[in-house]
Amino acid sequence: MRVSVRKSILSANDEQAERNKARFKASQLMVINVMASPGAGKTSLIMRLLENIPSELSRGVIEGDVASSIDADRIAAVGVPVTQINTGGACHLDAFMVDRAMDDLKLSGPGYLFIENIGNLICPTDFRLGETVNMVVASVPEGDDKPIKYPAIFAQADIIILNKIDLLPLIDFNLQAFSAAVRAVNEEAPIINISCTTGEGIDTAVRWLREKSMGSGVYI
Amino acid sequence: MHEAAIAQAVLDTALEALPDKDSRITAITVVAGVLAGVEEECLTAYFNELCKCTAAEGACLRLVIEPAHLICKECDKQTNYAGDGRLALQCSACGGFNRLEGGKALYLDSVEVES
Repeated sequence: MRVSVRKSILSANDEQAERNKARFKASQLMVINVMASPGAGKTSLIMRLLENIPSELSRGVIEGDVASSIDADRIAAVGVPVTQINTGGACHLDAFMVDRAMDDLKLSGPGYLFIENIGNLICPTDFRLGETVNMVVASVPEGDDKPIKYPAIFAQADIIILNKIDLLPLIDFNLQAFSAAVRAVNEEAPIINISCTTGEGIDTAVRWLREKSMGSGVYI
Repeated sequence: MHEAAIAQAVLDTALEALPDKDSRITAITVVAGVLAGVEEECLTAYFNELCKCTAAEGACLRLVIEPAHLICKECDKQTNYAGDGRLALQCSACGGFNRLEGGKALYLDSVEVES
C-alpha cells in the first residue's frame, strides 16, 4: 500500500529554527548566520564587525567547529561572550545545537549574535538555524567561480562579503566575473568588498547590518 | 556528509507516517532538488545502516532529483540545470544573463507499506 506523505524531510529542524527565531526576536537579537569555506576569514570578519558595533549594544558569538576551541578563544580574548559548539565530525550546525548553545550563552539584546557555521559551502545550506540573515563570505584566493560551483549557498544569502580584497593585485580574480556569477544565482543580495587586514569595507558591512536590523523589526 | 543527518530525518519522517505499529515500510520515495545537494549513494549508505532494527529495515530508498531552472532575464528562455556541467551564466539563444530558480525541494513524497 502506497501512503502519500509529502512532508519536508527537515521539518523537525525547520520547526526548531522557528522557535529559535521567536526566541531571538523576544530577546531583541539580530542573528547573523555566517557561512563560508574553511579559511575564508569568518572569524576575522566577525571580530572586525564586533569592534565596530557600538558598545551600548550587546554582542555574542556562537562558534561552530568540528573540533577545537581556537576560534572561540580568539573571541573570548577580546571580551565578547562566546559559546563553542564542537560537532565532532558533523559538517553543519543545526537548529537544536543553536538552541542548546543559547542556553549556555544567556545573551539578551538589544544587540547582535553572530553564529559562525562550520567551514563548508555545501552542508550548512539545508539547515536553517532561526537566523535573521544569512551572510556568505567568499575570499579572493578561492577564485571568482565559487558562486557557479556552489550555487545553493550563494542563492540563499542575504548579504555576500568578498574578503581579502587587499590580495587582488596578487591573484587572478575578476571582480566582474564574480559579480556576474553571483547575480546568476542571487539577484538581490548586496556584494560588499572588504579586507579584514586593512579594514576596508567593514563600515559598509556594519551599516548594512544596522539597516537590516531595523527592517527586520529588531530595533538596535 | 550532511547525508547522515538527512538519512536520519528521512527515517524519522517515514516512521511517523506508518499507519499502525505492526506495519512495515518496504520503499521510501524522497524528492530532492538539485540544489539541496543530496548525494544518492551516500544517502543510501547511511540509510541502510540507520534503518536496521526499525520498521523500515531493508526498505528501498528511491531518490527523485528535481532540476533547477535557468531563466534568461532578457528573453525568458528556460533551460534545466541538472547539476552536471557548468552552470550557464548566459542564455544560449540571446546571450542575456540567466537567473537560477527552483531546485531546492527536499521532502518525503511517499512510503510503501505492508502489514
